[in-house]
Amino acid sequence: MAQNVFDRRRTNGPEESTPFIYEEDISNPVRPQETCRKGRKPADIRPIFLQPGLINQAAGSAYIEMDRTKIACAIYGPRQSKNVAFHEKGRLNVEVKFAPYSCLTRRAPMRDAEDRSVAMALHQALLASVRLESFPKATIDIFITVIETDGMEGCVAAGSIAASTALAHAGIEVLGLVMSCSAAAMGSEVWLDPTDEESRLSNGTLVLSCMPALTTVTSVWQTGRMAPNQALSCMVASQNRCDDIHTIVAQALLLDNSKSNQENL
Amino acid sequence: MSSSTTSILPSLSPPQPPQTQHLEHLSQEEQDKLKASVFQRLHPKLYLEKYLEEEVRPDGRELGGWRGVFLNVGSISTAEGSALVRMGDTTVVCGVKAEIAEPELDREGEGFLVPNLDLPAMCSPKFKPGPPSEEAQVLSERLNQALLTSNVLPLSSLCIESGKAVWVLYMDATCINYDGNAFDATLLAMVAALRNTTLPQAKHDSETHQTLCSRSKPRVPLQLANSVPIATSFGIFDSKYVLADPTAFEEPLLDASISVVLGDGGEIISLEQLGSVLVEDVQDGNGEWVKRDVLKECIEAARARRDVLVKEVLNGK
Amino acid sequence: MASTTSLSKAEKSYIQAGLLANPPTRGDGRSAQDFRTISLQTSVAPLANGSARVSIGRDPHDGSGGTEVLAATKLEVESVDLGSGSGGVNGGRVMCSVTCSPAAYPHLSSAALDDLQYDLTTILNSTLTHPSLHPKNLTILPGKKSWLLNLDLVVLVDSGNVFDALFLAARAALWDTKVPRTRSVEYKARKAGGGGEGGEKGDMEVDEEVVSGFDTRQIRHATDFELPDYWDEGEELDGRDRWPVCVTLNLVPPAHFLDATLEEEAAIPLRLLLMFSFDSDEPHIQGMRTMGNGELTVPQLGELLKEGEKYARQIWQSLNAKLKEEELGRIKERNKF
Repeated sequence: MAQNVFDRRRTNGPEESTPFIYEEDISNPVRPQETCRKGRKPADIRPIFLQPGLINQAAGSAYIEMDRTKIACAIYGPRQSKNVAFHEKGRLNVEVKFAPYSCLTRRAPMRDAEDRSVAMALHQALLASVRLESFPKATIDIFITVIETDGMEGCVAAGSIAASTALAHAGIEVLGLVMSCSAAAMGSEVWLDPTDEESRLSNGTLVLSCMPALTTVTSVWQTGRMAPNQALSCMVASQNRCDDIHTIVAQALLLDNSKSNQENL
Repeated sequence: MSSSTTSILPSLSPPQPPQTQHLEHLSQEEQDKLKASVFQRLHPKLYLEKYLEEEVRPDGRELGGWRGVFLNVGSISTAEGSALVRMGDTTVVCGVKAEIAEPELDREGEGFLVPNLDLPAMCSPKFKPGPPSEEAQVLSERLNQALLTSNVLPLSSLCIESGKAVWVLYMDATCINYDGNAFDATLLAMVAALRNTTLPQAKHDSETHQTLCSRSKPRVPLQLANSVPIATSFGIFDSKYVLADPTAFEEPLLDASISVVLGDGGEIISLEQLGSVLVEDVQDGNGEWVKRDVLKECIEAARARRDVLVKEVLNGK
Repeated sequence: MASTTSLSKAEKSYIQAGLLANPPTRGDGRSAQDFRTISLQTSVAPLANGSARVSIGRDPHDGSGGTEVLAATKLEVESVDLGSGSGGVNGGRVMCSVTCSPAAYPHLSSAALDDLQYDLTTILNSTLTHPSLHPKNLTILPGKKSWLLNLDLVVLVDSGNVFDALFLAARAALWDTKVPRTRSVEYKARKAGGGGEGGEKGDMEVDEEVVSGFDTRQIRHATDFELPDYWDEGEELDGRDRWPVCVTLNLVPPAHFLDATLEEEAAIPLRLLLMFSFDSDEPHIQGMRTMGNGELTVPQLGELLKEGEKYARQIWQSLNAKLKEEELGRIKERNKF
């Protein structure tokens, strides 16, 4: 039973409520092992739909959809850092919020540890790309709202692509666009962009964030049990896929820019 | 020492026009646009007045004009029902999640409906990250009242087993882009999400005290009432102009606001008025401004708007 | 991670220049791969099911300084029933949390301290609670009761290299953990009138029913478990050999070094955390994370993986030797009686 904390700031439901369970899941809890990937080849990622400039109130914004992962990102800044001591390099503040309806079991609207771990991963991925020295004493706020999620790795990957697009849309100076790709080690194969189910069945997963323009890696986050050479092959596969994602993002940004130029004329 | 005289006395010459050398790289059109946007930032009230004097609003609408509405349902697979509404630039996503709980002791056959609106920091620079702001709290409460009063979803239809198990529907709306009038957009999103919601068929087992749902049996849509509540909001500016569907720029400049929630056949479900709605826009014979109560006009306009919305937006889905 | 030490630009470049020199020089005279003295004790918390205390670089004369971490495991019984409200899972659960003593970070506000705790917890949790490391003997009654293994770590003092210390302490505490042996017990209720195991004869005139194996009308009232031997510590946690060790490679391209002090950590922007496990013939990576503002290339990562594996293997072997020594010492103590 989920204990609902009474929050005077929101409309509250009953004290306790449980997510519903299916009869069939209790009687057949064991699921067969996936030997062959359904619907996609191991090196295929799901199609990406990317729309910069969805939120006109923000300095820069982007909305990304990768099949069942839907994330909106808004960037405010550089704006003044309040209540913080002087810092000669700018700061990057990443805040992630999962909508209550984004996961199969409803999440409480309060912020919890999972929000912060995704925020930390995104911060690590984007930190090296932004030219922080160009805005001292200021902060760039990156707000991410996850509307629907299909696995934590997919969330981090899509989030960093959206955030990078939004940074470019906002006109903030970056050394390169950051692209991310997640990979799962299934036996001896490497499956790119695993869904939640696939990553649960795998031995381990890896998310690689890189800047294809500079061929450098900004962040690696691996969990699970992998042999070192398997981890390396996951990284190489992810990096190759990031090059393709980079083309898609660059095209989306160019299209959006030419559209806004046309509107201004 | 330079040869030109640099006087230490304050200059008595008339003030120079603002230096425009730094804008020389822009075309004349772009310079005008920049000046206009600076004027908008520094003197928003004057800016709006100048537009309204010409009987048009900054975004090009008539005073009583509405922004285009776009509705998309059922795109979130993890939710039991979902809807996305765009009213102009204001974007609200609403998702419905269902859980099972024990009913209240004095309402054994009734389920729960828990609507909430979240205005996160991402939707507008005026919202800060953290717990729900005042605006979000007020809107959540108004939505709750509107949905309960309109009885769009009778709570008795959410009962699985009286006294033992009932459905709890959590309706969480998230505003992604705030350009004014979040209430109208959110109520529409919630209503559309409810229409899109399907629940699995559930059975309560009194021996094991468990409620189990069936994956194989088809899902059942909610038993909604025929009359859906639709909200329409207006703002009064300068006690002279009635603006329908105010944007985020207009909202802080308004003196008063009216929000009407109507059901089928024009029945009023809720009516909220903040501030005086006496408008002075006509002069009588002596040159005095005549005060006119615009509440009725607004309700009429809301009725017309509701018909349009229900026909074009909701009945298409 | 909040940089808790502030260094001037001159100090930073001094430290970096020292590390890039050939041979690399460090403030305390160590070489690039030298660790400070690590001291480890297990079973330091008698009330916990397993515990360990690790300190890296403690001054041997007065016991001050150094990074000190305390880890303890506690087993709780959880109900697995779906409707019961606890989060129990069939097969048991492992939960890990890190707290930082405010004395370790006196200049951090409580909000910043909370954030730091969250971050450390995330890294440890994502590595240690992964299903590939899940111990198999955490079930008590299949489908009804299981153990919840709480691993709590406390950072008492932080003088740099806190991640290596945390993982060392975690592995040692989990190695030391004993799971109490349980035995399942069933109570069968007789039909109307009787009750309990003894089946007292109440005011019944009817003959006692003979319990038949085919009689499905019998309802099993309670299925419970008991500890057969109260004084027995229990059995080892399954898979205690699998828990990984961590090695933090602080990167000063093209060089890297281990076991950084606080000043060195503040001077070096980028580091790589590698968690290795050598329980089988092949080494396995249980976790990998980059931290800080910097960039790498994939070939560089490959190189670092190889180097990291070597260092981790040395740490692993020394740790295992020490753990075995501690265990023998404890058995001797117990057998003294």
